[in-house]
Amino acid sequence: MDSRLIALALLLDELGVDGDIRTIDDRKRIQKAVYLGQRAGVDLGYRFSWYLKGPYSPKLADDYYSLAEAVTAGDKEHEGRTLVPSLKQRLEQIRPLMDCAEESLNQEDWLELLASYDYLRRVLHQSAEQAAETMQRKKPTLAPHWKAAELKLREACLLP
Amino acid sequence: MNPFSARRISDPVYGTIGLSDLEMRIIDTRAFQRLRNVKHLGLAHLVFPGADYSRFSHCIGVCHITGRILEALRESGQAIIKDRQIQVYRLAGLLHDAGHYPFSHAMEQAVRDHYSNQLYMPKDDQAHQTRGVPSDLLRLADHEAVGKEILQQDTEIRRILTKARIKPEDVYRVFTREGVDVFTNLVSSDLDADRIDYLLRTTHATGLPYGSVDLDYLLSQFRLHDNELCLTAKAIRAVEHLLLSRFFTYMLVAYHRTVTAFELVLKDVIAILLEEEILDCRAPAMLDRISTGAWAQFDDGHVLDKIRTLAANPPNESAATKANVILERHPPALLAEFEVLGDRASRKRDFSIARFALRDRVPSYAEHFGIDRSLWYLWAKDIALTKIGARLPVSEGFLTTTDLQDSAHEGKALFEQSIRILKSDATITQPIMELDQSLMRILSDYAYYSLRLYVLLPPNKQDRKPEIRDYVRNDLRSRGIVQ
Repeated sequence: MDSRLIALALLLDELGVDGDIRTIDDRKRIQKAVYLGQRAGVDLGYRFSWYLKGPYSPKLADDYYSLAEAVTAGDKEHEGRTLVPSLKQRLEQIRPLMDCAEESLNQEDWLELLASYDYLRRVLHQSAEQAAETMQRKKPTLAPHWKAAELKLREACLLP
Repeated sequence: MNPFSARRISDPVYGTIGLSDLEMRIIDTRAFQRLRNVKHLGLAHLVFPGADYSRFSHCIGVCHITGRILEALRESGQAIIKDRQIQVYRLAGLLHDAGHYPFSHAMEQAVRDHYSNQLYMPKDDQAHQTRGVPSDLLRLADHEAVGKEILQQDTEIRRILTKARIKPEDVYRVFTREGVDVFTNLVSSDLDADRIDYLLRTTHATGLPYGSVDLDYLLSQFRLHDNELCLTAKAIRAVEHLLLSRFFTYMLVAYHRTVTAFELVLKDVIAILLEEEILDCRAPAMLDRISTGAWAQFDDGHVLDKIRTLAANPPNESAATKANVILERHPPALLAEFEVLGDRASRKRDFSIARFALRDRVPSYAEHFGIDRSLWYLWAKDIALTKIGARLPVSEGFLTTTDLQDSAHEGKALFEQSIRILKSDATITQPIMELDQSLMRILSDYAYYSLRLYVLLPPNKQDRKPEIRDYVRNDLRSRGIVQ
């Protein structure tokens, strides 16, 4: 298995995110979890751009398809490996973000909310008010939860 | 006076093209001049003698095409576009490849794979339990990320942009797609200025007969509808011809049997340079190059010098053999090939099974012939005609969903970059692969699958190629891995 696929599998494992990619929601969950993992300081080299549903990396999509293909073919090389301790620590810090803090949202929508709000703040350098306004315009169903997202991102030290 | 014709230069593909004074000042920077020494097609010139054009001429071509599309839109009355907006997009086209590594994609992949390896360790490795790695080791293992950094850090480029009152982020957000607006797809999509120039320049340089795209007509058919960039229905055939031409060009040049063989070995050699610390491409080293200006010397020649250093003082015999593949043009031998064009639903799984079965046979071949395992190379690729077809069946992304807003996230992400066609009654736009009359409706669900096994024969086994090839082919046939 290619080393970048091993690193991807280990990051997902550390965050408790299933590598299953059968449904669109599965794949969205992976996209957002890897985005947050990289923001926590475990940079796997994926670059995210803004699409309709927030940050998305085409190269990551290529890689989770390749990973699933390798695992289906019986390649389990990642199972004998673990991330280096300093990276595990960084992921530990954002592990609570994987649990949805809003009752009315499912996990993949919660992760979309977190990743999108963070992207607007940290990559596009929008203020809290601008980001809330963008969320309202681009993601009206998720926008009402932006304050919960901001609180959780601060608790995880992703936002100051 | 048109500000984009202030200076004129001669281009082999488009003839005389215009540039603004600002663009000329950017072109004169050391970071941009560097692109003269980064070949666009990696090692393809080892097979196609003319395929040695640089990212320098390509970037100027992308700037030119971006400007022509925007000016065509403006002249058709489709959009009110100010010169300043055109200038920002032309600059994005000009600078979109400024961060490319030497030898283009091959080196980028080698860097990424090599440093990914440092992020993890064996589970039972107690010696490394306290091991730490820099959090940004891989942050610049991507040319667009490097390009963004160049626009922020390079003192010459910053000074020029500041004087022109253009924010670097307005430029890099176009080619990184960090902030997407209606014209972003001009520089990054299924049919963008980058791909148009790639096709025209590659076919021109190689002499392949696939570049006769009706460019003037195609550019005149761009439209804006509901804030979406699209083409008129009259342009469908011209678009399809371009997509097919691009497919053939990829197949014949980038994925040529010998070109892919050289690229596999090049990636391996670069991995050795990184492992031996002859070359450092960790993010801090890359940042240092950019901030000190040493980036201007980080080109194909720089890496070739490192490969010569490796060949002169190799850590082992295999490393010397591999370095000489690049330096002396000795390609590995092709032993077996499996290729099929088929619909992805039925073929992808077969391809995947064959790929891993072939990979699992390699250690036994290496042992049987006494050839180091690291000298065997497996190439696997699936190639689709459109971005959407590369991963998702069209139906998953769009066709079964009547409400666009609820359609698949991933399908949407890809469809956002797909070519959209304006219906003849000018009411709505649709992705080209959704149109009944389009070839792409059928072909988007198809892909070309290819597996190749190569071996790099050591000097003392050069005469055994026929024997090894027959053995491998018979073995693969007897196991049903290839027909």
